[in-house]
Order: sequence, then C-alpha cells, then structure tokens
Amino acid sequence: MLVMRIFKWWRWSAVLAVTAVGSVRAQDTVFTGTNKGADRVRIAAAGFHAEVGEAAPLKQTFDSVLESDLKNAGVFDVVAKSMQPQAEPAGPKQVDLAAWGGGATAAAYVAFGSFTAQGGKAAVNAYVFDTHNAQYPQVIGKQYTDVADDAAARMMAHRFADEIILRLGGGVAGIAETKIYYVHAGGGVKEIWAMDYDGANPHAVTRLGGIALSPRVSPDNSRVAFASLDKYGFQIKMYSLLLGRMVSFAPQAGTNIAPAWSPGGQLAWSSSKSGDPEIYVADASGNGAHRVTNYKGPDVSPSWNPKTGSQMAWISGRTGLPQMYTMDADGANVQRMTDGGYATSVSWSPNGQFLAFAWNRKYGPGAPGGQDIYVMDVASKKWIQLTNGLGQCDFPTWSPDGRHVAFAVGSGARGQVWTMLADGTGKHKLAGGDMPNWSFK
Amino acid sequence: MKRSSLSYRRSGAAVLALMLAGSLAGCKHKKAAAAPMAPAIDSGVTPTATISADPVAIDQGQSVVLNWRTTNATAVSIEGIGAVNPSGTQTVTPSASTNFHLVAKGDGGTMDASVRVTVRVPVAPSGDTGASSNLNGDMGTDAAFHAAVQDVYFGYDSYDLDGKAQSASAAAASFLSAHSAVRVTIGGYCDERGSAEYNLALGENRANAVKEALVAAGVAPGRVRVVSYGKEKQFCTEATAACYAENRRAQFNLDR
Amino acid sequence: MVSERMKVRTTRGARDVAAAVVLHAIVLGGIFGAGWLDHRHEANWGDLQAQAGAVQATMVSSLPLPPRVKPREDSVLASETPSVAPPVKKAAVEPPPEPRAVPVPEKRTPPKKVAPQPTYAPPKVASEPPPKPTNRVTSGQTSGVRIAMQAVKNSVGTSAINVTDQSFGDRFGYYVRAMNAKISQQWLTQSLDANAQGRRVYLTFRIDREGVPGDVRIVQSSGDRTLDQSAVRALERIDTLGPLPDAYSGSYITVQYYFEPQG
Repeated sequence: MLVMRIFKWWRWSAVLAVTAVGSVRAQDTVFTGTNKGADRVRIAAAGFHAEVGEAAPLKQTFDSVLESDLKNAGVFDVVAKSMQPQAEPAGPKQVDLAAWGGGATAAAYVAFGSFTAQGGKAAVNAYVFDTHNAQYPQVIGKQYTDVADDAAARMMAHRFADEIILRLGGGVAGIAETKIYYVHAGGGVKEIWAMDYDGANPHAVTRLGGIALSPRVSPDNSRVAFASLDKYGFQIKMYSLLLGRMVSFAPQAGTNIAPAWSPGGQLAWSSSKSGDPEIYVADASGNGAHRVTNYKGPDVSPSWNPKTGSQMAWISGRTGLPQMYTMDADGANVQRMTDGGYATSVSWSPNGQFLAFAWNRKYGPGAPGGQDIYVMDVASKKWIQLTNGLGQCDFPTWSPDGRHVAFAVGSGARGQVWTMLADGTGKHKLAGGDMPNWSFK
Repeated sequence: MKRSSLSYRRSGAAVLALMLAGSLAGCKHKKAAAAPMAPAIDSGVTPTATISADPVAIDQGQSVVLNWRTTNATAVSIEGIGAVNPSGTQTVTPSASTNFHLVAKGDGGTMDASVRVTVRVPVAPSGDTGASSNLNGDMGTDAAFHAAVQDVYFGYDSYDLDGKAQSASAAAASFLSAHSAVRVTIGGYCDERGSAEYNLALGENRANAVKEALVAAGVAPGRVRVVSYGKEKQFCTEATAACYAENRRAQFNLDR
Repeated sequence: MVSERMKVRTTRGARDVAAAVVLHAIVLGGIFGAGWLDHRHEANWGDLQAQAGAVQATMVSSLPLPPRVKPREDSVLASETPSVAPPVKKAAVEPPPEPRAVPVPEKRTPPKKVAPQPTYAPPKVASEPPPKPTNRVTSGQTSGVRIAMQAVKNSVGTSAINVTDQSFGDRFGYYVRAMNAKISQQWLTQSLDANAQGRRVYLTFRIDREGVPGDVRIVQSSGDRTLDQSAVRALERIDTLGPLPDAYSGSYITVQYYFEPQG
C-alpha cells in the first residue's frame, strides 16, 4: 500500500517534470521573432476631397470601398473615422501631417486626395504621406482616371488600395482587384458565377441551364474550368473569360470532376475512365491525359502546390473515410496528411507552406461533429482550426496574397460564401453560393 | 412500388418542409439552412409545388390524371405540357414512361417537383430496339424491368456490396442475361452529408461496384453505362437516417 | 546461537533485498512512466494545444499577416468565436486540463494526456517609433561613414538596419520601416543558444528593383554559428521586400543589418 502510494507520487512528479519541460518548449516556440500588434501599420484614410455635384455620390463609394479594402487587407490598423481629423485635404498643400500623425489619430501614414468628375469622366489624385517624415513625406502619388460611374469608382478605390498594400504591406500585392468564382444554385440549376473579392457585383458567368460545379480559374485568369453534368455524366468544361464563351476541352470517358490548375497551366482532375476515380493530368485542352494515382477507391479534389507546381494535395478514400494526401505531380512520394475523421476539399496556399481543407474530425454515423475549415503546415503536419459553429464549412480557397481564405458554409441553394483572414479572424459573409474559387491576380 | 412513393423534390422544397416541420434539431447542416440565403429566394415568399399522378403505372394507351398544386407562384409550367394554371388537374396519355416535371416560378424563387409515370409498353414481337424501348423478347417492358431489377443500396461512406446488394445485382444480371438487347445505365447516388466533390467520386464507385458485379456475372461491359450524380439529385431530402439510406444507392434505368 | 544469528542476518538481508527491489521498481517505474507519458505526448500530433500553438507560431511567421491573434489558452481554436461544440464532442475529446491541473493517475485507467499550455506570450515590438534620420546628406553622395541605423527592438532582440545609400533612408523611410518589420518577423530565434544573447551578427545584402533580397553576406560574425545562421535564414525566407520606390533611380540598394538576441 505504501509502495503504491510512493509509486503514485513518483509518477506524479514525473508528470510535473514533463509539464515543465513542455512549457519551456512551448515558451520557446512562442519566441519566433514575431512582433505583436504594433507592427500592423497604422493608417488613416481621409475622406477624398470632391466638389459638390457629379462627383459627390461617387466619392462616397470611393471612400467607403477604400476604407473597407484597407480594413480587409489584414495588415493595417485603420484609424476609425471618428478618431481622425474631419478635414478632407485635396492635395499635398492642404494636408496637415502633424494633425494626422499626432493626438488620437496617431497614424503613421495618411491616404488622401481629390475626386473629380466632369462630363462622364472621373479622375482621382491619390496620395499616401508618411506623417513622420516632414522632409520627404510622399510615399505614393497616383492618378487614376475612368468613367464616372459607381463601378469605376469602386475599381479605382480597389487599385489605390492595392497600391497602398503593396507599398506598405511588405511587398505582397493586395487582392482588392481579384474575383471569386463560385457556384450559384437556384431554380433547379447550378451555374458558375463571379463576384468581386468583397462580395460586390455578383454576376453569372455560365448560362448552361444544368448542373455546373467546381469552378477553377486558370493562373492567367483567362479561363474557368468546371464540371458539368450531361446525359453521360459529369465532364470537364472550359469557359474562356477572354472570349466570353465555352471553349473545347477534350471529352473524357467516365465521370470527370474537380479540376485544378497547375501554376504552369496544366489541368489535374478526377476521372473514372479506368473505372475507378483517379487523378489525371492533361494540358488545358484536355490533351495528353495521363494518370497519376493508381489505387482503388475515390481519388478526387486535387490541388497543386502553386509555389512549386511539382506537388499535389488531394483527397482519397482508399482507406475508408476520405483523407488528405500529398504526392509529387508524377504520383510518387504519397504521404497521408490527416490521421482520421472526414477530410475533404484541400487548397494549397500560394507560398506552398499550408493546406487549407475541410475536416470533420468526429465524422461517422450518429456523430454530430461539425465540418470546419482547418489549416495544416505541410512540413510538420500540425494544424489549427479556423472555423467553429458556423455550420457545415467546405471548399476553402486561398487568396493570391495568402492572407485570406474564402469558403462555403452550407451547400447548394442554401450555401453561402464567406471569407476570413488566414488566421481565422475577420469572418464575414460575401454572398449566397457554394464552391468558391479565388482568382489569381 | 417504392420509387413511385418517393417524391423527387429539390432541396428548396426540403428547406421549407423542414421549417414547417420544425425538425431542425440535431443537424448542424440544417441549422445553417434555416435562413434562406440564395439571392433567388432573398425576397418574396418561396413558391411551393407538388404534383401527383394517378395511377403511376399504366399500360400503353391508357390515361393518367395529373394533379398539381402550387402557391406563391406567378408562372407555372409542366415540361412537355407547357404553361398551366397554378393548381389543377389534367389527363394525359403518355406513350412511354415519363417524368412530369412541374416548375413554379414566383417572386421568391423557383420550386420544382416531379412525378414519374411508368408506361408498360407491349412486348415487341421481335428484336425491336427502337427509340421507345430497347427491350427485346418475351417480357421486356419498363415495368417488367423495374419489377425484376431493384436498386442497390449501400452503407454509409461505402461502395461495398453487402449481401442484399449482391442479390439485387445478381437479379439484375440474370434479367440482363435473359434480355440480351437491353442496355442499362447505373446511376450512383450519395446522401447529402459530406462534401459534394467527394460524393461524386463515391457515387461513381458505387455505380461501378454494381457494374463490376454485372460484368462478373457475364453481362457485356458495353451494355452497362455508369453515371455518378453524387448528392446532386436526391431522392429524399429529409435529414433522417432512413432518408440518407434511401439516397445511398445505385439505380438502374434503361439506357435509351 | 550461531545459526539463530545467521537466520536473523538472512532475514535482514532478505529485507534489504526486498527494499532494494522496491526502490528499483520505483525508479524504473518513474523512468518508464515519464517516458511513456512523454511518448503519449509526442504521438498525438496535432491533437494537443501546445502543438497547435506551435503551428500558430509557424503560421504567424509564414503568413504574410502581422501576428495579432493570441491563441486561446484553453482551446486549439484560433477562432474568434468560442467553441460551441456539441455535447457529444466533449465526451469524445478530453477537455484541456487546467493550466495547473495534474492528472492523478489511477492504476486501471491510462493517465490523461498532459498538454502543456501554449504560453504564447505576445512578443512586443518596436514600441518606439523609428528615430528620424538626423544626418542629412548635404552635398551629394558621400562615403558610408555615418551609419544611422534604424534599430528595432522586440522581445527576441534588436535588429538594426542601414541602407548604404544614405539619402535612401531619408527619402523612403517607409520602405526601410516596412523592410525592417518584415525581416524581424521572419527571424526565428527559438533554436538560439542562451550564450548568443547580447551578441551581434552584422550582415549585408542587396535588394533589387523588384524587392528581392540577395547576395546575403555575413560581415562580422557573432561568434555563434546558430545566431549567424538564423539571421541569414531570416533573409532567405523572404521572397520580396516590395519593389523599390518608383522615385528611387538606382537599380538596387545595399543594406546593412545586424541581429542581436536578448534574453
């Protein structure tokens, strides 16, 4: 009895020791040279100066889109409008840097300028000034001209925001000019639609009147590949965004779904031409198709490593419930990434380091677990969960700057497209839809 | 027949039905679905649509009464018949088995419903593989086909043929052996859980598992065509175990 | 008598042996127990919060996002909304132990996993704004005598930067600041030896017009190889520091940089 007690006590202390070691290790991990909070660049966006008249409503659009773009970017601490000077300086002569850089505003940078519209043409003179560099304050000085309408005002704000993000965000270009392609369901049909990255301007791309799924836009933004159901099952189809019509993709036997572009413009997809769904690779017209997986069971949803173009992640049901795997683009070096549950819909991050995917870790008959978006570090297979309690989340897709992930909540006609920063913050709904795919630049 | 009792509705109708039934508890997916999101149904009231046929199986030349009802619809049509009143009945005499597809369009969106009428085509005296039927020989009618060939059901996330599924496949194989001119499609279906892309691959495996069983039993592979629908075409749209089981199937149809 | 004494001695000897066996058992049990527990800890990759914390740290240095979310200490989620996991989930997943809680092992049941808490201390940075350049070029380019480095201090140490073209730092202070922030974000110091503290490694590198750093050289070693390497790696991890300002006419800039870890 005493021995047992001693033994228990011993194990107890062993546990303590392990805990202590573990804590030290965790502590070390924390010190990764990362800088907290303060290195989000604090920026103020002044209202743009506009004369009353034609420009006034467009300037409102411009101001709000610019502010929302800067907030969405994830790299700025945008000064609240109520905390900044109410002045709307039109140009460098009017701007009072001390007022923007000091007091409660305390912005390191201020964006300002003028918006003019006359005779159907709009012009924006846009500046970003460094409030603490009195001698050479100018960081950006740009002029944008376009037609005087709401869409153009929105686009000019996107372009200016992207310029600011590029210059002040460490050289990674912004995404305000990117689009999200997605599936829009309604009236018994599913079509491919597109919208701006912020959910504005949703519009139909295809009008086929059938079931179209899994849009994937090519790296040069010239084409959208998708899967479409006809009498003989699902086929890969190709829509040219430049020509505004369907272009040919060589028909393949069997069920053909889930296309994915390599950074070099090849297409991978899942085809059952052999009788079992396997991953195939062909050129952008469907020629030269060759198989890269060879294992009984569903193999689907490939995603290339956009950084190298030499690896793919995909989903396979070869051992039962679907799991996430990676392999070289020729099918060699297969590695299983998930250790259980129900993992689907993988998307490889632009820097090649992460996989975003949907995972239901408690999936199974009778299990009420949720399907959520996770991100895994490819090298270490460590992961974090980014969504929780939103509903059935699926189809994550990385923005080209690697700072954002869009995903679907729910599916079909009830589906919604959401977006968030890649650290799981800033979640918000963009539009009704399913299977989002973020365009390249 | 089992098939005729299944109302083949689109997901929207299911949402509505579920909302009315208040049976959302215990299903996350359904919770997310509680608020209609698609732009198509953001405004106005979603139409409802139901259609039935009596009887659902006839001999060729006989008539059947279609009975449909819609609400909140501004334009109602039945494929093959054209625009119709919001609610009504009509007697039709289809020459071949037909899906009567009712589409109700309203300010709040579009809803559709369909009913299948099976027409028993008289047996052609010899090898008639015409457009109306490719059945051949003694007892080859749609009804006979569906009487002899039952759908194959699968377990959760599985494409293995269990005992019941094997006997269903064997029955289909013997029918096909007896009717050498008959060609079939096998549709692979999944329940609504899980991911759409993965389910399409899984549906393919289900349909292919049945095809392999037929081929192993001596049916020429060229007579069997496989189409996967994943979870895109649900037979039953309720979030119940029975409904999920109903949807996890490989379905035989005559290939025309 | 003799035999009795011997008997006593034997019993005592047996007692000593028994005590020794028990003690050995305790020691071995402790060793194996600890090893086993530690093994358990390693085996469940991804399942433990400490490791989720680690991936958070990896992500933080790899995502082009400024770190800002402090992982919740009681969950693996990086989610803004707290978990509303269904009750069944709780039964399936062990709730994370309290920070100080120590599982009391019982004989029959395997001990619970002990997940060290990710003590994700917010590394602080650069609270002081970069000093204004005091030295101004008055007559064209002069030799790089004046090295007014913009130093950035953070919890991992100090790094400082200087662009050899003196007017560059004056005119494009924003670029130097953004560059400094980005490099210090990429500087991973967890493998550094405690002896490296207080030492400095001086590097130079070039940035071409597109912003790509290259030609990284150690000008003066810190004497600590791991520190030297960590500094070089920080630069190698960077694809771009952003295109050089349009108004800058040169085709590249040369940057001097030092890293100095602090305890």
